[in-house]
Amino acid sequence: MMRETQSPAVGEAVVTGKKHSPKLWRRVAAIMVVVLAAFAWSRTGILDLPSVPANLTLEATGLSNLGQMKQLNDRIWSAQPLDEPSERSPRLSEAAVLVQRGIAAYRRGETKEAIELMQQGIRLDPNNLVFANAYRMIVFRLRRDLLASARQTSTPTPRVPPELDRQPIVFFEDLDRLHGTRETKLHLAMSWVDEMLLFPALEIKAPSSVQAVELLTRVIDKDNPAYVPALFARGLNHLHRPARLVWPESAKTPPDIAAQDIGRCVAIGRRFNVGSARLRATLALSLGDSYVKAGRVGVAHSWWQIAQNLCHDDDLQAAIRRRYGWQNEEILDRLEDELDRGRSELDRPMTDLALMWN
Amino acid sequence: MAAFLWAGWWWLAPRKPSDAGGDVHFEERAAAAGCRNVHTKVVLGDAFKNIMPWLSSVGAAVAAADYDNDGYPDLYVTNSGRDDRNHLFHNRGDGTFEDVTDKAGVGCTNVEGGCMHAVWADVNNDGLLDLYVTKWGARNTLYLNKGDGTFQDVSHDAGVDYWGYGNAATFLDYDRDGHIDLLLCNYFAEEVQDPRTGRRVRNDLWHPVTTRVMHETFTHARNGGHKVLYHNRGDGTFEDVTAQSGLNSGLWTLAVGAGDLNNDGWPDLYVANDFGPDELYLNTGATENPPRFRLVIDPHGHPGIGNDWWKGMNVDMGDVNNDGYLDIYVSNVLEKRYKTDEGNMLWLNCADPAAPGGRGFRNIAKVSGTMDGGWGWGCKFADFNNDGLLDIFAENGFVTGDPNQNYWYQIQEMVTQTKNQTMDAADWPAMGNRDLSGHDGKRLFMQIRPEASDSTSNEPRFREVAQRAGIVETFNGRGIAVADFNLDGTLDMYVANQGAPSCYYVNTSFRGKTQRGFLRLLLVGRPDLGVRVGGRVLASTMNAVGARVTVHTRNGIQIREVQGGMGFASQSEYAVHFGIPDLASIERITIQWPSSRVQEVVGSQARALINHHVRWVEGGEALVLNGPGPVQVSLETPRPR
Repeated sequence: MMRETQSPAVGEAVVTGKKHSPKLWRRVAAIMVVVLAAFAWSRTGILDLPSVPANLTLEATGLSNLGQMKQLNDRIWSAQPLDEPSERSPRLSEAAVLVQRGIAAYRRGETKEAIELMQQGIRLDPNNLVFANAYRMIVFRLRRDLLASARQTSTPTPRVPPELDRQPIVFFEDLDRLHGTRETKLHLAMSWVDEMLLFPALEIKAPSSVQAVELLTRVIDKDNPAYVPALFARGLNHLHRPARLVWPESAKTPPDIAAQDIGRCVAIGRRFNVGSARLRATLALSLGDSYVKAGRVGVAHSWWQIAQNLCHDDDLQAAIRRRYGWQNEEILDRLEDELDRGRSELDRPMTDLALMWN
Repeated sequence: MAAFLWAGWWWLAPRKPSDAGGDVHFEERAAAAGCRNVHTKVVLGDAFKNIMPWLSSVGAAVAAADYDNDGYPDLYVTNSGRDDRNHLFHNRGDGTFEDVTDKAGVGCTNVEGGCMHAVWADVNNDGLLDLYVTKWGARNTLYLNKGDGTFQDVSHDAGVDYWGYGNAATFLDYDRDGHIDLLLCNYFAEEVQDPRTGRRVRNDLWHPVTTRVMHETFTHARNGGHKVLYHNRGDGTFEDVTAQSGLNSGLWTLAVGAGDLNNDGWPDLYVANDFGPDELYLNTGATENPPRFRLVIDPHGHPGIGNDWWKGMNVDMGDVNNDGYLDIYVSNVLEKRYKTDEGNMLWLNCADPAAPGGRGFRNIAKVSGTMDGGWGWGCKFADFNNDGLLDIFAENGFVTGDPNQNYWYQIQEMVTQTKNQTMDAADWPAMGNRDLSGHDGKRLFMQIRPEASDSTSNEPRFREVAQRAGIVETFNGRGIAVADFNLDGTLDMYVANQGAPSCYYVNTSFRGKTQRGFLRLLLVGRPDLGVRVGGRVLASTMNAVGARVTVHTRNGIQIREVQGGMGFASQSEYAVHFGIPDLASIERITIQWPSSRVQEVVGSQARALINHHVRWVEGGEALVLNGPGPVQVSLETPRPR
C-alpha cells in the first residue's frame, strides 16, 4: 500500500513537473534575462546614443575616404618627393607636391620657404584636410619651439618671424574668406584651439574657445549637422571648459552639450563602421569624459569600458585605468586634471586631425 | 599583552603633524593703541567713473621702521584721497602710538595725485632713516630725516622726484658700494597718445586726454609704467641708471622685492606684474662691474616664473624650508566660483639643471596648502609662533560692494567677448556697487612641523588658521608691516586696508605661557669699512640691506636677509627675527655683510644672544639691548659670498 500510495505521488510529482515544465522554464528564463539585463545595465548603463538619419551619407559625415587620406598623409610626410612618381606611387596633385616640398623645407630648417610652399599647396586644394592639418601642425611646432627657445634665452617677447606672425589664424581667415567651406572653417577653428594649447591662461583659452565654438557651430548649423570633425571638435571644446566655474559662455549651453556632440560622432561612426580602432576608442573615451561632466558617472564608466575593449594601445589603456581609479566624489576634479594634462601635451597636440585617418 | 600591543601600535603608528597654528593668536588693537587710520581712496577723473572702484583700489600702504632710534619700530601709513595726509605714528614703547605727522612734516597731503607707497632707508648713511613716498599722478617725495623728529623734502635736489604712477619701490644696494640705491616701479604708463593731436602727452588720470589708458591685454600687456633704478652717488644725489641696468620693460608692476636668490652674494629682483608675466632678474655683480640685471624665464614654460599666471600682486622672500636658499611667495587671484586654475604661488628654490646657474623655482602652493589666498595682495613670511619655521600671512579682497551683485561675471564676459579690447576704460561694463572678491577672510598659513619619523617629504606644508588666530576682519587688505612692535619677542602685524580702517594685530600667542625662544637682530653696517674684493671695494650700507644672518643649530639652519622694503605697499622693520624653539641646539650665528665681511659668534656666546634684542655693528660687537651687555664676536677672514 505504501508503495502504491507513494508511487503515484512520486509519479504525480514527475508528471506534474513535466506538465508545468515549460512554464517553469519560462519563469527561470525570464528571471535570468532580468538578472542578465540588470547585470548588463549595471555594467554598461544606458549608452544613450542619438539616432542617425537613415538618409545620411558617408560624405556628409566627413569620414569618407579615410584610407586615401592616410595614404596621402603618409606620402606628403615621406622623404620621397611626390613629383618623382614610382611604379607603386603614382603622381599626385600639384597641391600635394607643394605641401610635401613645404614639409621637406621645414625639415631642412627653411621655415619661410616651408610656410610659403604649404600655403600655396593649400590654396590649390583648400578643402583638403590632410594638407591643412599638416600646415597647422608645422606652424604649431614652429611656434612651440620659438616659445621654448625664448624661454631658454629669457626673452620676454619672442621675436616672431614675419612668416609666423599671427599664423596659422591669419592664413585660415584669408582662406575662409575666399572659399568659406566647412573644411576651411574647421581649420580656422582648430587654429584657435592651437592658440589655447600654446597659451594656457583662462584669459586666452576663453576667447579662443568661444571663437572656435562659434565657427564650428556655423559649420554644423549650415547644412552639416553630421560633420564629425566639427562635432568632435566642438564637443571637445565644451568638454575642456572648467566645470565648476561660473562662466558666461558655459551658462549658454546645457551641461550635457559635450556628450550630445561627441555622442553624435560615436553614433555616426557606428552606423558607418568607419575609422580606426584608436579613433573609435578615443571617441568613446571622450564621450565617457563628457558624461562625467554631465553628472552621469555610470554611463561614463560604460563608455570607458567600450573604449578599453576597442583599442589596446598602451597609452590609451593607461588613460582608462587611471579613470577607473577615480572615486566618485573626486571624479570631476580628477577628470579636469587629466584634461589639463592632455592640453599640455605639446609634442602630440590634441588638435592633430591625423587621428582621423591614422 | 594588550598593553604591549597598544605600545607597539603607538610606536609604529604614523605620527600626525603638530597642531600648527593652534598656538598662535592675535588681538586687533589699532584704535586702542592709537595707530588706527581709515584709508581714503584716490578718485580719478570722471571719465573713469564706470570703473572707479577698480581704479581706486590701491594706495593703502604701511612701512615700519625705527625712525628715531629709540629701539621701537614706528609706523608710516598712507592715504590716497584728495587733500588727505599720511600718518607717522611714533611708537611710545608702552603699547601705544602717537601721531607725530605734523611735527615731523611728512603728511605729504595729496594736493596733487595720490600717495601709494612709502619706504624707509638711510639714504645718506647718517644713521637716521629717511622716507621715500611714491604717488600716482604727482612727483614722488624723499624726506630726509634731520634727527630732531623733523624731516626735510629733498626730492628734487636728490633727483628722485619722479612723476608717474609709483606703486612699488624698494631700497637695495645693487652694486654693494655701501650707498643704498632705489628701485621704483610704476603701474600706469607715464605718457599716452593724445587722440586729437597724435602726440605723446602726460597720462594725467585726473584730467585725461583719453580713456585708452588700461592694459592692452589681460596677459601680455606691455603698455604699463616704467621701472627706474636710481644709483646712489653717495653725495646726496641719485642718478637714473635704468637703461644700462637691463630693467627696461613697461609692465604693470604692483610689487617688487630684492634678495640674493642664488646665493652669489648679489641682490636679485623679483617683480610682480599685473596683466603680464612676473619678472625674475639675477644680478650679474659676481661677474660684471657695474652689475646689471639679467632676466630669467623658467625654461620649462607655463606656469613657471616669467610664464606664470599674469596677475602678480605681491612678492615676499624667505627660506621657507630652511635649506639656505630664499624662496618666493607671490600673491595672485583665486575666486572659488570664477577662477580656480590659479592662485597664490609658493616658489620653492630648488636644484634645476635646466635653469640658469642650476637653480630653479617650483610652485608648491597647491600641495603645501598656500594656494587659496582669494584675491591676493600683501603677503608676508614670518615665524609667528617662534617654532623655527616660516609661516605666511596673506591679505586679500579687491572691491567690496553689494555681495548680491558680482562684477566677476562682467569681467569674464569682457575677457571672453572682447578679445584684448580692454585698453579703453570706456568700453568696460559699469561696476556700480558690484562686488569683486570683497568680504573675504584673510589667510594665516601656519607651517606644520612634520614629526622626525615622517620622511615622506621635505617640502613645507601649511594649515590655514586665520579665524582661529583671531584675524576675523574682512576689509580689503593691502600693505603689511611685520615687526616686534612691543619688543616682547613675537612678531606683530600692521595691515593697511583699502578704504577701510587699518588693523594692528598684536601677537598674544604666548601670553601666560612659556614662550619659545627668539632672536631679534638689528644690523648696523659700516659703509666706511669697505673691503677690497677683486679690484673693487665692497661695503655695507648703514641699514645693512642685503646682509644675511644664518643661525646654525644641530637640527639645521635658518636664514634671514635684511630687506629694504618688500612686496605690495609693504615694509617690515629692518631688524630680523628668528624663532628659536630649542635653545640648546644653537651652535653658531653667522653674519655675511654686503661688504663680504663675515662675522660669527659660536657656542655659549651664541646661545647667550637668544631671547634678546641685539644690535650688531659690522666689524664690532653684538650688543644685547635688553640684557647683560656686549658679547664678544669673532671676526672671520673676509670672503666673498
